[in-house]
Parts: sequence; structure tokens; C-alpha cells
Amino acid sequence: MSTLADLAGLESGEHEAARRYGRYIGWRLAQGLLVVAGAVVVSFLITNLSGNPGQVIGGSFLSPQQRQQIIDQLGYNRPVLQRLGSYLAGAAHGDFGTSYQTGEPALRVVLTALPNTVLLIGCAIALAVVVAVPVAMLSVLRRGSAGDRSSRVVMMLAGALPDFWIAIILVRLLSVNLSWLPAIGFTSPQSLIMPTLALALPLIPAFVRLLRGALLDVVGQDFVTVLRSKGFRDRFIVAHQALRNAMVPFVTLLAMQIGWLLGGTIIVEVIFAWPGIGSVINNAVQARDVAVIQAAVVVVACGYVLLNLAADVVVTVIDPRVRSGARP
Amino acid sequence: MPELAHHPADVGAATAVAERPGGATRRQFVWRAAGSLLAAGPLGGLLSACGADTPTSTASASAKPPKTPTGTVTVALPGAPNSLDAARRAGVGAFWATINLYDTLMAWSPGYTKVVPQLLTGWTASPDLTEWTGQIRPGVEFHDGTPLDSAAIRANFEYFLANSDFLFVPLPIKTIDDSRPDAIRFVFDAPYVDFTRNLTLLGMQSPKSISAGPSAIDQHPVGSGPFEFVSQTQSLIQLKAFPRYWNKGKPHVAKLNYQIIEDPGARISALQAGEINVVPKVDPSQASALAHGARTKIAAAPSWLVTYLNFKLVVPSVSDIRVRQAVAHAIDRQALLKALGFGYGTVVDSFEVPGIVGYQVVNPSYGYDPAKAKALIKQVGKKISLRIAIVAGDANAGFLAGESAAQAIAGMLGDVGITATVDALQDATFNANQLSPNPAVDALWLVDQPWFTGGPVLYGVTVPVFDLQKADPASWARYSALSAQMSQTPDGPARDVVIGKLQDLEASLCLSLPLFTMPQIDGLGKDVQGYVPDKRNFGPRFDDVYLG
Amino acid sequence: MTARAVQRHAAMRSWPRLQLKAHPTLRLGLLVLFGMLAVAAWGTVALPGAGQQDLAQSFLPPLSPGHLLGTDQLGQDVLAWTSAGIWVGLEVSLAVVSISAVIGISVGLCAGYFGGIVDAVIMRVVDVCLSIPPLLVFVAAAALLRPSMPMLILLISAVAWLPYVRLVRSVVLVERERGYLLAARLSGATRRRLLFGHLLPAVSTPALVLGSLQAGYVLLWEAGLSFLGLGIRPPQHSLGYLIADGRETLSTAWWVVVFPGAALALLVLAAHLIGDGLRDLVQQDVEIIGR
Repeated sequence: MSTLADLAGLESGEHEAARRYGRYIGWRLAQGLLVVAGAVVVSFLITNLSGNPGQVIGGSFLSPQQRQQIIDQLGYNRPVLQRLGSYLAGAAHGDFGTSYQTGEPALRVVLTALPNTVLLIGCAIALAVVVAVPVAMLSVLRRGSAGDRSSRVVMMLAGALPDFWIAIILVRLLSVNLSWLPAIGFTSPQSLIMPTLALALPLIPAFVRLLRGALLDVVGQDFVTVLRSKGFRDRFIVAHQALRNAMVPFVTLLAMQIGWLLGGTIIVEVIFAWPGIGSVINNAVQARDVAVIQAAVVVVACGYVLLNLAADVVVTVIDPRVRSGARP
Repeated sequence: MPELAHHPADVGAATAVAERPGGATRRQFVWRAAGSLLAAGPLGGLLSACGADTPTSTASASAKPPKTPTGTVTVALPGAPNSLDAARRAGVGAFWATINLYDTLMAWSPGYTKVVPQLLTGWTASPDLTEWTGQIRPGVEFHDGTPLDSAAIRANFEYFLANSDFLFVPLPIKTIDDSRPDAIRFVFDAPYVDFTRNLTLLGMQSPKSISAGPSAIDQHPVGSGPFEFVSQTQSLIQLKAFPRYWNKGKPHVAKLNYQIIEDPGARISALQAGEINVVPKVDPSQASALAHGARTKIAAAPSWLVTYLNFKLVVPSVSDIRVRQAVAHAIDRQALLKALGFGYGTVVDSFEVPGIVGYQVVNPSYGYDPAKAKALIKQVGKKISLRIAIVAGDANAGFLAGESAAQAIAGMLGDVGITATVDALQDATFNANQLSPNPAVDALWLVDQPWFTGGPVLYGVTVPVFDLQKADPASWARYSALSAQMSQTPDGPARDVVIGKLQDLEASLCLSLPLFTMPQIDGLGKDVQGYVPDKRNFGPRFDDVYLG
Repeated sequence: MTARAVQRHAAMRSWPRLQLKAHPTLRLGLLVLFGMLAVAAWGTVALPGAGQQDLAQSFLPPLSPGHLLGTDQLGQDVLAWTSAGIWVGLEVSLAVVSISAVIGISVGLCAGYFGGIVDAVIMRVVDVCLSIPPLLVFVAAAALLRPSMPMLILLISAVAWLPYVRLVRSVVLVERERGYLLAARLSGATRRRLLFGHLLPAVSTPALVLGSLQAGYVLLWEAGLSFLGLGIRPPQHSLGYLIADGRETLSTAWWVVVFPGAALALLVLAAHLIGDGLRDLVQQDVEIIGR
């Protein structure tokens, strides 16, 4: 029978752990904010790489008077530090200026396009995971066989194909020649298929490799041999015990991949005219729409930070050992 | 191989071309024939390469225009417009998107043969061409309900004058008289010969819009054209039929959308997949596939665009005329066209093309003569290496002024001993450097230049001419004198003579090398009827277009 | 730990003997790589220069006389261009991997060894850099500056050094846990000896694995940028540029797109196989995600 003191002691232990966990999350959040702040500064640097953006904004065919008018209007006649200062001040409450092309707030332009890219990435990741998990498991169960080795090579080859190459060939085959799927834009759920394929294919080998490695670790351990001798079927063992172990590095890898994809879909989005962040960035770079470029960089950086933070949280849920105050 | 020049001449338009006496160059007679065919041709204006496709005329159209506007037409734009403001629009994207938004005082006839009143009903000019009066069409209103009157037109011109470098169209206006609401009178500083022609570029917008300011215009432009503005995003501009358009019964389409698809391959794919209806200026390599496609067809017409290789005289490597002549002789234009043109296009030996005032063959013209080129280079004595500038990407450049052509030209120059590399510049840099006096910029400029007013306005502003003042003041003096004379001489034989002298001077100085002209080939969905391509690549009007 | 333990540990950190027979992945990777190199060498030596135009021989299909893989629109031989493109890709790849490895390892060693505030600052900077999508930086920078090979190498290196820092730092942290470093220090080894004699060898094997994996990605990045026209341009020859060149006419002249794409895929495959094989060889997982 636990005494009150025991109860109190137990609770205080949990409180202690919870407090440490909270501090850990808080610390990660603070780091994240710092990273975002750094990204905001970097976004300014990128667009000022080749001098004053006022000289190139809006692109072609502007007379000197018109250009000067625009420079004055948009404040590019001020010294660099002053511009940086006002940019940072604006960014602090979400004001990244207005898009030169449409007059909308730059942040809104980016955020409107963001869900389309997120959807595309989500589908690509989902497809890659759905393919990678059974392939990895099969690979482990049949490891060492000729079939396994050759299928690994084939898979690696599939992952070595450049995503833009896959994209243009898919478009030519499935859209133009066979008219099965829409060629561009986001008009129907079918529009998702080809861009998803183009993005997912290079991901699959990376996922398989990681899962396979993690699974192999577990499968080699003694306790699995013991379990096996008790008659559990191979598949059950591999699936349950091993996958759990593979989850931690897998989740972290996932977060990194998604983060990378957030800014890495430019070429595929251009080829499919997909209305996502990649297209927005490409348009903005072509039109020298400085405000939009800056907003896009910051939004993607935020996404990356949030994803990593989410991955950290998920990891601590999966693996309680991490939760007990272990500092990075 | 299909070629426009060989189209059957049964049209009876065997008009003789004004050939320069003593000019040892090929006849452009078939060009005139083709041009006349178009002028007399069906409203459909669908001219395809001979023997290959089924040309469509209104007589054989499968459907008639609908009674009320129906359907949506989507046009693919190669690049985002810089602005939708009539006074600031520049470049292909901006013009295509706004040509149906704004009407102009004068406009080109459907065959692009003459200039006819649009927002006016008629005009008169004083004999010395210093005064010009237009009768304003009654009953016209802008999309926001403001009526069109002389005060509105005056407001527009004052707005244009505030942006006086607009498209290099001069506006030497002394006074604008709007005392009578139904007529507008201009008084010029000096006789303005080309005013009527130049008016085709000046879109009229609502005075209320103008007073609201440029940002308001950019976000919601207001004109008096057959379509009015609905909305705009990063990749899509939406217009809809204007119910109170002055030309009753037009347009026939309910919605007109402009989808920005930067990637040329994506544009073609989208057309073939049926997702868009119109692709402007299709690469000739795709024209045949589109012409035979299940869902697609092409509309082709001789254009007013000429591809030039311009020399920047201030750059030391080409400041010597012998180098320029060597470059001219080194280029095998026929072979180039054969490899890149896929059967379309013609080599030109003139600065202009038929249909442009003063069109005539140029003397001297530089033929393909690599031996002569090598000899000239040897004479010069030093090693020549230069850069050829092109516009990166596809937004404003034609493909014959693009990467492949430039690489091919670089190869040909290499064959005669000139080291050439291709420099792809972004739009803004390209335009800035083209006019820059900096001797470190690129020496050769491959440009696709449109004679967008149908007249000689470009003579004042071609790239090489800018440099001439600095590089060769004596020739510049002669040039300026001729140029001034030309802009004062009304259209007619006398003007043609002056233009001839001007072109010959340019050719003898080897300031610019005309290469070829490519027809305007637009890709269409099979159900698009009534479409006439715009020779200027500024965007066709959709007044008569319908889906059927 | 005793001096003997230090020696034993040092022995463990050196290269395991290379038994290629037992490592099929590595073997296959090297085979593919050498195969591609052989093709590229033959293409470069046996054929006239890549990029040599002949407008009369435009769009010849594969197996045409004199043009095994066909020609493009300007009559340029696809095999010659692909061979040159392989060399260019490898050049860029090696340069980037070398530069980024040197920078990344140095920074990572500092972070791991000195720890404390140095470590914290470095890792925050790395985090910021990692949060910026590299392709966006490439596209924006390449569009604003004139493309050229040195600029491309610098651009990609500016991003590619980051994974080394994380990796090296983790390895150094792990090594620090083991007492042999302290023991070595106590027995009089200088800091320089520790860094170069102990830590660097420890770090070099995982770094090498990372490098070979990265080489594949660098190849893809270079091709992607050249495809967009922002990377390598004539007179240098890139596989990505050729793919873009042939893209318009894909349905009629498929060979201009398919062959360079296949060459690129095979090179990347080789890089991945070699990376995997090396990892199996040194029995270390380089995908150390720890912070």
C-alpha cells in the first residue's frame, strides 16, 4: 500500500521528468526561432547578391525614368543597412513587402501556394514509404539471395534517375502520347500522379536503405533467434519488433527529406506547371520579384524547423529513453 | 519540306515587288503573293504549310459563332506580364494579356494590311501633317462605366507622356485639344507622319483608373476592349466578356484566361492534352506535330518579326568593319534555317519584311562566303574572340533567336577562325547591356525584332545605331539626316526612296545582319475558330474567336 | 587506459583490409564506374571533339554511320557530348566533394573537439544553413550571376559541406567518450597530434563514405542546374544541358534525352553503390542523425 509520501515521491519524480521534457522542448523551440531569424537574414543576402535589387526588379523594358520611379516607390534608394533593418522589422510581424507582379502581400502569395506543394510532398513521401517498407522487409527476409541483390541494384538505379528526366519522359508518354493523365497544373486528383511519381522515385532507395539497415540490426540479435525458435513466423518478428527500432532514425530522416523537398520541388513543379512553392519561386526569380523570393526562403526555412521539431517530439514519444532529460 | 514561299499562287496576286535596280538578290515575289493571299484570305486565316494540313476557312467551319458569348478559352503565356498598365506594358506576356483588354484609337485590319479606326469613326490630318483630328466613336464606355470622350483620351495621352520612353514610340505632341467632347485634336511640334500607325499600340484606359494611380491600375486595369479584367494571380489572369462592348455581337467567348506556363515543353504538352486552347509562337519543331495532332492545329501567317544579328560597335572586337563583314560572310543562313526551321521561315536580305512601309531588298547583302570571311580575318591580323548575347529562357525571344541558333552561329564563326561563345542573359541585363556604352559587354546580339507598328519607327532605336554616334560620327551625321528626312516624308514612293538609302547605309556599314523571318505560328486546339495570328506577336484579338 | 590500449585502439581505427570478393556492392559500383569511365575515355579519344556541329547531319538516329548514339539538332554527336559530359560531371563532383569535405571536416572537428560555446555557435550556423533549401539558393544565385563552372562548384560546395559537420562532430563526440584521448593527452601528446593522429583517421572513414554518397547528389544537382540553363554551358559540355537541348523534340529524337539521362543515372548509381559498399566495408553507419 503506497503511503502518501510514496505517492508524493512518485508524482514529484514524474513532475521532474515532465519539467525536464518541457525544458527540452522549450530549448528546441528557442533554437528553432534562432534558425528562422538566421534564415530571414540569409533571405535578404540572397536577393542582394548581385547588388541592389532595384536595378533588376520587374525585369525588362523599363525606361530609366520608370525604373527610378519604381526604385523610389519601393525604397531601394536607401542604404543597405537601413533596408535590412526595415526588412527585419517587417518580417518580425509577417510583412515581407508586396509582390511586384500582382501587388499582393508577398507572404500571402507564398502561403497560398504552400498547400499545393505540401500535398505533393505528402503524396510523394507516402508513396515512397508504402513502397519502401515492404521492399525493405522482403529484402531482409531474403537477404543474401541473388534476387535480393539484383533487386537492390535495380532499385538503386531507379533512385539514381534524375527527377527532371523522369518528369519529362512521363509527361511525354502518359500525357501526350497516351492522354491518360493531365499534363500540367492542378486540375484534378489525377494531376497528382505524375509529379508524385517523379518525386517519389529518388526517395525510395534512401528509405529502403535505412529501413533495411535498421531491420538487419534487429534481426541479427539473439533475442530474435530465441523468438524464432518459439515458432513465430519470420514476418511477424520482423514487422513488429524490428520496425519499432527502425522508427527513430527513420522519423528523423523523414523530417530531413520533407524539409529538403520543400525547397527541392522547383524543377518538377516547373515541368508540370504545378501551382506550388517551386513555381512561385521560379516565377519570382525570373521576374526578379524580390519580396516573394525573400518570403519564400523564410517560409521554407520555417517549415524545415517545424518539421525537425515535430520529428523530435515524435522521437521522444517513440523512444522514452530520450525523454528523460538527455541533453543533445 | 513545306515552305510558305511555295504556296500555290492561284490567288492571282502576282504583284511585282519593288526591286532595287541593280540589286543582285532573290525575288521576294512569292512573299508578296503569300501576303496577298492572306489579305484576301478567309477570316479564319489558317494558313498551313503547303500540302501538309487541312487549312480551315470560315466557309468550312463546322459551327457558326454562338449568339451569346459562351465557353472559356485559355491562352498559355510564356512569361508573366511586367504590368497590365497600357502605358507600361512591354514584352510579349504583357501585350498578349492586355490586347483584348484595351481598344486603341486606330487598329490593324484583320489581314494586317491597313490601319483602320477602332475607337474612332474617322480621322483627318492637315496637309502638312502637323495637326491630326479624330472623330470619337459614340456610345463607347469603359469597363467601369465611364464614357469615352475627348477628355478621357486626353487623360490617356497625358499619362503616356509622363512615361515618355514608352516603347520608343515618339509622341512629339505640342497640344491636345479636347474642347469638343466628340473629337480629339492633336497638334505636333513637327510633321508627324507615322502617328496614325503608332496609335495602334496605345491602349486607352479609363480616366478614373488613371487618376487612381499606377498601383491601382496594376491590380485592376480598366479598358474598353471586348474583355474586362476579373482577377490576377501569380500564374493566371482571368478576363470575361464585356457585356456592353461597343461592337455589338462581339465577343463570342464568355471567359478568356491567360495561364502563365514558363516552360515551352509544358505549354505544348498542355495544348496536346487539351488543357489549354492557344499557345503563342510555337517552336517550328513542334509545328508539324501540332498540325497533325488529334486535338490540335496550327495557325500560321507571315510575321513582322525579323531575326537579326546586331553588332555592338563600341566593343573593340567588332569595331573594325572587316570583322563585321567577316561575321556576315561566315554565316550560312540557309543551312541554319534548314536545321532549325523545320521547313518554316525564309532567309531575308532586307531589314524589313513585306507589309512594312518601305520594304525593299538591301544593297549590299552579305552572302555565305567562308573563304572571304577567312581572308578578312587574316587581313585584320589579330585573334578575334567575342560573345554572342541571347535572352535566357523563352519569354520574349523567338527560338530562332535562342540557344540553338546562337550555338550554331558560334560554330560557324569558329569555322572561319573567330572564337565565339554564347552568353545567355536574363531579360533585364540583356536590355540594359544592349544599350550600354560599356565596351566590355557582348559584341554580338541575336535578337528577334518586331516591326510592331508596321512602319519604320524602329530606325531611331536599333541597337547598332545607338553606338554609331560614338563610333563613327561622320556616318552618324549622314544617318541622322536621312532618318530625320524619313520621319518627315509621308508614305509614298519618295519615302520608299529615303528608306532605301537608310537601309543601304546600314548595310554598307554592316551594323546589323538580318538573318531570317519566321512566320507567326500559333498552336490551337482543334475547336478554336475565327483565330487570326498577330503578325507582331503582341497577341491576336479575340473579337471573332469562338469554340466550335 | 594504458598505452597498450591506446595502441590497440589506434590499430582498430585504421583501414580494414580490402577484400573485394567479399563485397559485391562495392565491386559492382566500381565496375559501373570504370565502365562509364571507359566509355567516356573511348568517346573522347576515338571521336572528334564534342560540340562539333554539322548542320547537314541534324537529328541522325542511333547506329547511323559515324554516330553510334545519333546526333542532335545541330549535328553534334550524342556519344561525344555524353562522354565529355561524364568528365565534366565527375570533375564538378570531385571538386565539390573535396572542397566541402575539407571545410566540413575542419569545422566539424572544431565543433566536436572544442565543444562549449564554439560548438553551440557552429551548430546553430549549420542549422540555419540547413534550413535554407539548396535548390532555391542555386536557382536564385545562378539566375543572378553569370553561370560558369567555378561558380557552380563554389555554389554547390557552399551547401555540400554541411552534412560533414554533423557527421564529424558526432564521431568526435563518440571518440571523446572513450578515455583513450584523455590517456594520450596525459601521456604528453599535443593537441595537434590528437587532432591529426587520432581524430582525423577516426573521422576519415565515415567522411569518405559520406563523400561518395554525396558525389551522386552533386552530379544530380549539376545536371539539374545545367538543365535549367543556369549551370554548365557550351563550350563545356554537361549532360543536363544536352537533356534540355533534346527535350522539345523528345518524341522524334528520343536519343538526345535518353542517352545522357542513362549515363547520368549510371554514374549516380555507381556513386551510391560505392558509398554503400564502403559503408559495409568499414561497418559504420554514416547516417548518424544524432545532434
